[in-house]
Amino acid sequence: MDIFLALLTFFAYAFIVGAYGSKVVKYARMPIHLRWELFTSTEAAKPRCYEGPPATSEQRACQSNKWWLSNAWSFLREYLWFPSYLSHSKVYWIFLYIAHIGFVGLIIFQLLCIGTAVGTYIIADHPFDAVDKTTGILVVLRMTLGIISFASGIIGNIGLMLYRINHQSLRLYTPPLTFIGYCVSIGISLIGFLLWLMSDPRFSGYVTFFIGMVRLQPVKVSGWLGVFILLNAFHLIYLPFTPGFHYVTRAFAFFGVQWDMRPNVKGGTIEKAVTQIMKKRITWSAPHIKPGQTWEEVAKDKN
Amino acid sequence: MRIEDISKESDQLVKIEQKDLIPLPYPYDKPDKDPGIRELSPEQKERYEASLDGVVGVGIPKPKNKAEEEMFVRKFLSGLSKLIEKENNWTFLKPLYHSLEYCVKCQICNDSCPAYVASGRKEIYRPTFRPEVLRRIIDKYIKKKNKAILKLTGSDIELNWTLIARLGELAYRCTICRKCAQVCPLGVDNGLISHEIRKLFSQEMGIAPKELHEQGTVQQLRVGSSTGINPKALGNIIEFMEDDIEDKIGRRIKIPVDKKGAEILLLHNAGEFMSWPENTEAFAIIFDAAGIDWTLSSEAVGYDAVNYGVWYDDIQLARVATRQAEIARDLGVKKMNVGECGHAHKAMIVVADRVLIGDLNIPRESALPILRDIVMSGKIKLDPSRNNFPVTLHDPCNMVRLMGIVEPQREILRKICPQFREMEPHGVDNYCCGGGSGFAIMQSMNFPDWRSAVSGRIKLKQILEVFQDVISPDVKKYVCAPCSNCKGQIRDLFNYYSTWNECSIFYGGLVELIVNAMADLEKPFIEWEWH
Repeated sequence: MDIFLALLTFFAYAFIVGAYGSKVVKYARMPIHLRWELFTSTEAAKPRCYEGPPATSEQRACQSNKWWLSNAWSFLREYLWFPSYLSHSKVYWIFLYIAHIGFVGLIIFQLLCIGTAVGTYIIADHPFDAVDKTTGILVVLRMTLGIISFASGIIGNIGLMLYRINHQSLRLYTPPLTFIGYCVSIGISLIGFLLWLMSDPRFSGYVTFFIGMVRLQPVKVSGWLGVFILLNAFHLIYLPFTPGFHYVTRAFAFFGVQWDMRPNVKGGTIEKAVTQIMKKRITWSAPHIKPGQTWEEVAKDKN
Repeated sequence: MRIEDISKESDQLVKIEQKDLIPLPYPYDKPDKDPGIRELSPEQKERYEASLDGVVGVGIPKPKNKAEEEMFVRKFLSGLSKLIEKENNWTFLKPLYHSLEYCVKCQICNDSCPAYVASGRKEIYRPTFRPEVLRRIIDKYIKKKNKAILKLTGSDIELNWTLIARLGELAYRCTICRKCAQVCPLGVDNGLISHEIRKLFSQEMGIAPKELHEQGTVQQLRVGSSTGINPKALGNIIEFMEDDIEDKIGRRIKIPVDKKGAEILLLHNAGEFMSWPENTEAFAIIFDAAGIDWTLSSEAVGYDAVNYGVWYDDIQLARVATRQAEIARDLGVKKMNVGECGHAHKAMIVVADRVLIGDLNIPRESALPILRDIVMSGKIKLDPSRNNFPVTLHDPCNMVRLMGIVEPQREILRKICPQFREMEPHGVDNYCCGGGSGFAIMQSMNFPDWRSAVSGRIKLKQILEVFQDVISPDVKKYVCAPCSNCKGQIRDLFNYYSTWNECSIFYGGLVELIVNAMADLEKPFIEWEWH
């Protein structure tokens, strides 16, 4: 069982890193696209973007530091406070916000535990003993994060699940996998909470488990901790199958599409990319498209 | 209804009833003031797919036999595969991929959709409905996920002719105003998904509304303009406009045509020549008075700014934009300026920026800032008291939300219209006129009724609300819509509700108001004649 949990945890972390990594690579390798911007606020529209010829000073004003900072701030604000959800529904927002505190807290809690394990392994002569002696701010932080994230995870995910069930428009579009996700999140949070309450108030056992993994000497785990580790691994494997990676990909959508106003300057990198892509052959087969033509040829074809 | 019901055969998936539509303010606050949507004839229903909502916009003919039906499904799947491959859809793959993969279905976007809200929240018009259908088809038929995964991810759906035909029609119940994308905190763009479905139908299946394709881009490339105006007819129109200007302002202005090396090649939506020549005349009067070095082109395609490709077909978009740029290059103009046409702004200045390369990459701009500079410079003497009537501004989505041109038109109106008032919401948060993405020119069967009763309803509501204190027909009012398609939609909307008769609300462009305020004109330029 100990070896199984250690291997499963290794696999789960490798899986999520690999899956998310491949998504980032997929985005990065996507070809240049047509401009398709959108002004999300009048404030963002204030620079006189299309009043001057492309690539002149006025056009470049759109890409000025002030403009970027303004957009970056609205982007960050959405990350930190979810104002769009707040203006939509206060009840939905509050559960969503609490659930996200739980989710982000769980990530930081785990990183802290892994970091502590790695650090303890490196600096201590007897790391398994040392973990019990870790005191001070690290333990307080670990405990605080653990308790807050578990409590938030329980409240937020129960709230979200009930909200989705009770609202027809949400229920209709929510697949069983999402409800499974809520259950797993509630399960992890609940077990984590019970672990803290009943057997491991400083989460030393969890850190020790990671030390065992770092040393490739799986330690014996049992009870609440075993269940917690099992559920957590399941959760990590589950996440790449959800839209949860929007944490990262939304940056591509905003900065890479909606706010991407880089003009096509003669001789510039965009022109080079467009010139290259216009050499692609078109495979669409409607009657108004001649088979085998490149984009460049078809654009100059008047039929 | 459930999402999977879209593939189940029935007479009509959704019925639009008057009682469900959002109420309008006075004087349209009584049900008998709402003309309703005409029923299709039995022959029309027999011939075309109309089982979505009893409305026909695209006009997809029903299959004659099983083989035709199967071919239709195969073609659709072939197009759908291409839509999600970078080899075939470089133009929009990145935003499409993001929108398909990362929507969490929180439904925040729902309240921003004018068609969904105005219809009384009919499920099929919900901004997330089309994407969800498409996502399910991709999971089941393209990615071929196994049954258990499909159940878990809620992706089960039955693909058949009915579903595809309804989806094709449904792509033309979204004006691609992208207000839903504007409010999405995750950057998901459900409007783009409508665009991509249209593209699949056009580029792979050869299906598009005839007003956009055969009579639109194809006619524009062949004859010169989507209106059917050929270069010879343009010559007559220009002569007529010069006569008309002389009648109106008492002096003749020579409209420059094919002037080599001019500073500006001005491109109008050719619809203006046909329906609102006073708009193009007003441009000529202002540019002449301000001493602008400009020209029109008499070359086919060069005198029509429209590019309907931006709504449904990337290839047609590239063809039209390339031809327009070739004409500007051959004339040796310094830049191209787009007149009062929203989608032409977006297509030529923004979207085509990654199609036009080398010597075709000519500076392209909006005409609005030039007009603003002329008005603010004092080059022409303006008397705001000549525009002393209530005026409001409609923000064309393509220019404003999608391009950020918010202020120039407002600066002008604040200066020359003492009774200018903003409708709510406005600016980048505006509502579509209801005629966006080609709807304004789509005249098929009962589709015009739908776009007046449903997609344009919120715009009418906004207009009536902003003029509520002067709603009496005794007071003439003006909706300034600096976009040809928006004007077309507002004209049809006002005709449908008899708004000119009931409330004396007129509509027109921005330049007409500028010329109307010119102090040295003997008589008003705006004639308040309903057309």
